[in-house]
Amino acid sequence: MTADATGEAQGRTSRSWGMSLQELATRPTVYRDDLLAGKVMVVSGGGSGIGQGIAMLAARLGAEVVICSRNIDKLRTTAEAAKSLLGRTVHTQVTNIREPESVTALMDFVWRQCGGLDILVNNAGGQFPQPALDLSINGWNSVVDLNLNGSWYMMQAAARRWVERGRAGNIVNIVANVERGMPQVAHTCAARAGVIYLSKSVSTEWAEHDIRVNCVAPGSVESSGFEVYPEGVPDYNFRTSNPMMRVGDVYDVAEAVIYLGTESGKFITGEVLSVDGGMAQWGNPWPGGRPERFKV
Amino acid sequence: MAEGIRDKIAILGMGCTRFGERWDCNPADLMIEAFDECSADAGLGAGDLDAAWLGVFFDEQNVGKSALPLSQALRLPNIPVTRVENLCATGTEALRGAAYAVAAGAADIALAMGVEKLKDTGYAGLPERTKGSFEDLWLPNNTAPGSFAQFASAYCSAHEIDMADLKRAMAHVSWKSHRNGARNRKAHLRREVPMDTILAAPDIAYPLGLYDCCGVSDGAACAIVTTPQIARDLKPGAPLISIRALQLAPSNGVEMSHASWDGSYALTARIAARRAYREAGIADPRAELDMIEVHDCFSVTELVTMEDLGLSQPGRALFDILDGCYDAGGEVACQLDGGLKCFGHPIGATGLRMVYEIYLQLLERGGERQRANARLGLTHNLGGLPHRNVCSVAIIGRSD
Repeated sequence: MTADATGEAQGRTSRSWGMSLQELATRPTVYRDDLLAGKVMVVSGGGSGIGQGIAMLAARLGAEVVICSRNIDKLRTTAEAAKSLLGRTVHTQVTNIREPESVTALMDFVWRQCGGLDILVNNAGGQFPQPALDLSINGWNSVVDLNLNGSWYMMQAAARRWVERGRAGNIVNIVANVERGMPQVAHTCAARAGVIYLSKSVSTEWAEHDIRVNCVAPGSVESSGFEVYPEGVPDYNFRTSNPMMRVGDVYDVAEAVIYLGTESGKFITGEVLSVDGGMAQWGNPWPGGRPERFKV
Repeated sequence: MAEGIRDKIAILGMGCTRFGERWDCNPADLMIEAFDECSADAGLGAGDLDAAWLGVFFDEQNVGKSALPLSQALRLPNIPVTRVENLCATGTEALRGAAYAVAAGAADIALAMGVEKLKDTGYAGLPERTKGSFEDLWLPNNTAPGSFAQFASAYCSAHEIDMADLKRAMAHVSWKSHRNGARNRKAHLRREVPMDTILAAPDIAYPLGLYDCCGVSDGAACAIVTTPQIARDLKPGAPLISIRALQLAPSNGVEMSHASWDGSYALTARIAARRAYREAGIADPRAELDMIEVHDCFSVTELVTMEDLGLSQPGRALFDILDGCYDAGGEVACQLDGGLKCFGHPIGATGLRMVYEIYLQLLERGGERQRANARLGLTHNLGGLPHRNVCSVAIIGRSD
């Protein structure tokens, strides 16, 4: 069933996507329970979607987790689930990563509240499908601002504090699979590509400060983020976007983040780890619905 | 020490008006509205009362002084009525009078009524005092927002807290209360307020923004109290709601005339809370209390009160608030009804309005804001200003 077949290409999906909080709290994981004990992790966009999965897994593994987002309702929902399902306190901070002052306030607060920061996960991001010819200036700027500028403000703010205090640091940026471009979401492709090459650049600059910087590139990973795509796209286009012919889940991404963010990744920096079921080699999600020209 | 009033007084019934801009009625109408609900709840009428206490704050505005406003409004059968006033603790003071009468055996059944009709004055905030019972020597050109703004500054200074962090925690206080109040049809302000709106609101007195300050409303609330024995006789098999503690601590001048107080906390609240916990037999308030209604005249007051009540460690209330400890689903739910943020502060009524919410919760009448397994609650009023005030603390519990 494609977007065109339903005749509702402009309609948005209404069902709930991704793993429930209950699943996030109980899904078996390859990691040991106390892997992140004593570690402080900040997850931007940690109130929903992939970020929520990362935050819940990190909390399960013993980390002191701070989630931030503009939306306090999402943050509180996740924090309350962590409390009730895991018995863990997840701190919440209302933050707009597009504003450097807001990021500064967040970072200062994390150091005051938690006494430091070990792992920064720049997960907040987002986009909407639209042909590039139709992108408005505002639409372009908002996606670039959120995904590229916002991530950069966070990276720099975290790194400056690590360097000032002589502490090691670790950054994992959630990006996307950009090698073959991302038709219909060109704005996010440009922004994510920016984050990837930013990461590669500073991974060299900051190596002397014991700061590692890596990226995780999810392919079609089922989460609440699926909501922005037209009816039928997540069910068909995303499922057939990779040789495994299925979508991933947020734990696939969360476990990759933990791999890079902990000792297992200690000799890895400037790298991009794709979690996409092979989509980089074959397949395209066509997030706005497959155009007529490419129906073969 | 006297053994106190623990478990000597039962609440037989309570009533509370819809709070708001009640242009539709006068103070007597408000008292009747509250009493009708209370009377039906208790199963008793005005003729069954032995004595009554009336809490009204502003002396020459709308309601009137003496026993007459209450006696006339309810056509009471010429029973003794005592009019009390104790700043923002006025409503709780009325309850204390009625409770003491019952505990002393002077009355079997007593009424505590609190009422205030602030909107009729036309003021946007509390009317400013120029002359009167607060001598000008200690309060030159003083305003409530200004004084509590200083409270905020002193708190930040004492605990080396960044004002931006305090602003966010205060915003959480307001956001949480408005979320709760949106689920209460008796509240005056019934809309959730987005965090962005709160943080972007204009300053009233820095660092207090618009949503850090409570509104101005009209309202009345009342309680009929009796002995536990009479309550059990009148309502066999029903859960018993009893007053476990009622404490009042007024300032004695130390805060404003001695450098030992740094302005970052309410000394009286710490004293009243300590005494109340002892009276109620509470050893660990954070673990034992299910819910609290505190005096959030300003968001910073609620924040500091979490420490003064011994719920948060000194300097940690800010973090506990941001962690949701006092949200509806948190460890100790604070302002389940929306608090002063959503009810405004008709001074005479406020203390009893707080007890009303605890009472509803204990009886599982909280509707969509019901706290599961609510067994013990606390109310707190801070009347006056940080350096000179009265603080009342009441603890109410349920026994089956």
